[in-house]
Amino acid sequence: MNIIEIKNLNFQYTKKDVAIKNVSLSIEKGEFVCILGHNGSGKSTLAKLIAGLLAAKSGEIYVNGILINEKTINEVRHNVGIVFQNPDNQFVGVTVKDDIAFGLENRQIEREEMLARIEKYAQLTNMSDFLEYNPENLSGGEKQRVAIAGVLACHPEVIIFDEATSMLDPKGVREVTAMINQLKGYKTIISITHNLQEALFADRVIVMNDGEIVLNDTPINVFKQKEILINSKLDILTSMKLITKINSEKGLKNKAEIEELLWQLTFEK
Amino acid sequence: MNEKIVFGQYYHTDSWIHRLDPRTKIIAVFLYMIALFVVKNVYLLGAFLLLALIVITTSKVPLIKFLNSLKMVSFILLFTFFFQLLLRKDGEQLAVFSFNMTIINALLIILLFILYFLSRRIIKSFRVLLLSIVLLISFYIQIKFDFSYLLFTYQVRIFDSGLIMSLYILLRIIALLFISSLLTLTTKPTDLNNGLEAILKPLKHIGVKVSTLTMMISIALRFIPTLINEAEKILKAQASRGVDFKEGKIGAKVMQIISLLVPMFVIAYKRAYDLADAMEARGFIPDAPRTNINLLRYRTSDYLTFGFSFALLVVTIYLRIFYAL
Amino acid sequence: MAINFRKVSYSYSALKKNKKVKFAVSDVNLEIAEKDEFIAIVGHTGSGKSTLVQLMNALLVPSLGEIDILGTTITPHAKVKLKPIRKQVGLVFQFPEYQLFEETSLKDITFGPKNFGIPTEEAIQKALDVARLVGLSDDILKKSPFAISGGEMRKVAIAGILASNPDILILDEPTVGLDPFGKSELLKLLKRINEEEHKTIIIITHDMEVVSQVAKRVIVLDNAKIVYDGDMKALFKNDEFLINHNLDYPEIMKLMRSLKERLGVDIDIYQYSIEEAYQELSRVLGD
Repeated sequence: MNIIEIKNLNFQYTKKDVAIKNVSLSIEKGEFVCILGHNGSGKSTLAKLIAGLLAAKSGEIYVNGILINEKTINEVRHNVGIVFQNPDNQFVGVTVKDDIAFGLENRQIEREEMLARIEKYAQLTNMSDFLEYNPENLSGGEKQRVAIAGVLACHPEVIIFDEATSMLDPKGVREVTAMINQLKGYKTIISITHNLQEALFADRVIVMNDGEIVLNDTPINVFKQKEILINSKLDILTSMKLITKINSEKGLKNKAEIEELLWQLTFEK
Repeated sequence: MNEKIVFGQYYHTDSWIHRLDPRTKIIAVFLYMIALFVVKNVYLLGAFLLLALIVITTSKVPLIKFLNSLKMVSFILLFTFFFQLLLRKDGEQLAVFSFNMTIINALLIILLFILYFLSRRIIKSFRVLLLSIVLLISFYIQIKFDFSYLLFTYQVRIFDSGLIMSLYILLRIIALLFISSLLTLTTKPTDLNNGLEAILKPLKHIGVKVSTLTMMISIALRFIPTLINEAEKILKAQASRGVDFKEGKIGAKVMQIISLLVPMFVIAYKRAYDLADAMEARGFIPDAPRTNINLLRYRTSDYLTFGFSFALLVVTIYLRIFYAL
Repeated sequence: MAINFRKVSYSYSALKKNKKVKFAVSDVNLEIAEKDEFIAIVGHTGSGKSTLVQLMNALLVPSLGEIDILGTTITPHAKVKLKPIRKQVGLVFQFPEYQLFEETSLKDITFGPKNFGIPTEEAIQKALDVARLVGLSDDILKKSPFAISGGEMRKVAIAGILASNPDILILDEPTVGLDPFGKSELLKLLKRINEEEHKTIIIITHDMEVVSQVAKRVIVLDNAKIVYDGDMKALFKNDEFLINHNLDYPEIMKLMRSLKERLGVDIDIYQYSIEEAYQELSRVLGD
């Protein structure tokens, strides 16, 4: 059974625009799926719909077999955790410890259990030394790691990262990306981004354009589709640009060999 | 790194008062304040203030912090003191002052006040103290100098009831300010919030949304430093667009303030939406039952403080009823 | 020289005798020309980049040392009028959308010029010119700045600084938060301003792609000090320096390096665009 099943989803914020047009999608348990799209393509809206923060106009979303509706929403939230873009606007607690505890308090976890989970997940995210710190004394990357600890502590099966690195400096991006990679295979991950580098190592890449899914395939197959990517207002990989250039000119011998090599190099790490 | 930000008034050291449970401190201060209003005798009131001072010295918080709390009300204190002193006319006359207002005295006094107002730029602190000195000098002039053309004389009589009443009010206000400062200087705002929530919990049964209120306060506390940072950034951005808070007429000043407030409101709105999403996603349901990571626990010092505060109130009531003190 | 820093240090805490303070920028010597420069300032978070640019438009006054800015000299205690400097040296902060507040986008763009004493008629004309330059349609100008997209808001904010016609334009992380399309549009705009109007442009950035695409000169800050001030291309040739300061190479160079290793041929890996990279490859591997 797929952990996430989306059928013919439609959503709009106002009467005029349509944010999500007839989107259908399945995600298997343990998959690392990356959703790429330009600003306004609907990717964040989709994330919020899966997390149960928005109600669809029509269509269905099943999380772990449960259809999302008013009655099931609380149970769905047990299964889906989401880390947002702005490190400050999701930090509720006065200290790191209080913030990680927030989700646990909401679920009425006993204090002993809360302390144990806080210790475990603070250690996992390398924030053990920062438990008594206030958010204003933390960097963006550190705040995001606290958010991740807070989400992990509630033991969801699915974790959505909604542009979780786009407001961070390079160090923060490295820290959070490393954290996300650590979770691969251990949790089902949906990473929403417009950074192509992050998508290279996903199991599957989905490209959204103006509310629709235009590509849904492995990274290698998706990044070959340069016209679709350009139409979707996304950048194309540098290696792809170079391959295109080589292809269009006649100056090189062994064109195919070099193109293949470049492609290989892109997906190595 | 953690000590950089000061929690509002909170002063961080390690004293037995800092270590008390916040509930104990809130209730003890409350009981002390009730007792303070029960007392009728001015000497007993003096003893209360002395008690407050003794407790303050054990808090390891520098005295200057407490004196700062008086700064705000110093003008009212001064005014009230003189008002009561001069207007009460019963009891035993303690002193009589004859004041002579001559032309030269009048001119000297006007000069003194002009100098006081001009000194605003040079001397910026202790204004009220300076004003008191100016007043004292002007009265002194009126007492001692009686040459040149006499405009009028007047007499001021001070009676013991006046002195007692003014001291009474003064001592009470100072004791109130000191004891409430003690609370805020020794307790972190978040601990105060937690303590208040615990104390007010019973009100839930009559429909007061205690946990929602305390959650709102807690979030407000969490974001105050963030908002201050953002305000600074906006001020700098607008300064780069030519906003200069030091100059400008009323019209320009209004625009300057709008250029700060509108962005702050917009940021606050977006923040509220984002935060609501994050809180809901983490399972928050307003007014639903929640557990609490913070554990408030009473220790021996708390019980002793409770005991002492209760005893203080009971004794004070007893003294008032049976001895009219 | 338009901007000249002489032994400048800045500390956010007050300087007291015999007390050790932490300097946000320390002992900076720097010269910036009035025209044609395109400088990228890079460095780790907390290295002093924001402080440095705020000293350049007199939002901050040096704690030690002197700064000449377009004819005015600023020292720690000088009583100089700082407001005119902010007109001549325009500073666009990170996420400048947050400074918008007026009823319409057009009005917001004219806010800066009007504060600097430009009469309303002229300010509106300037605003219209600048709006055209950054690619804002009349439609958007009529709307409230809160009713337009994030990318458009950013353009309005940048236009608001350009409308005062600064001689030097400084932008703090101008591409953060923009999608690839928005990012390339912005960089094209900056290049155009630099090449057509010959204005000196200074940007703070973390993105080495951006540095390799637009910058002619790079200043690297590390712990409050300038550790590199020179040609952009020369910077990328200094492998040791880049590693020591945790700076990345542009993608195209990384690719060329991998190709060189794999194919075992002597390729000059220091190329800055696809075109240049292709030329080099065809030179070495061509028929």
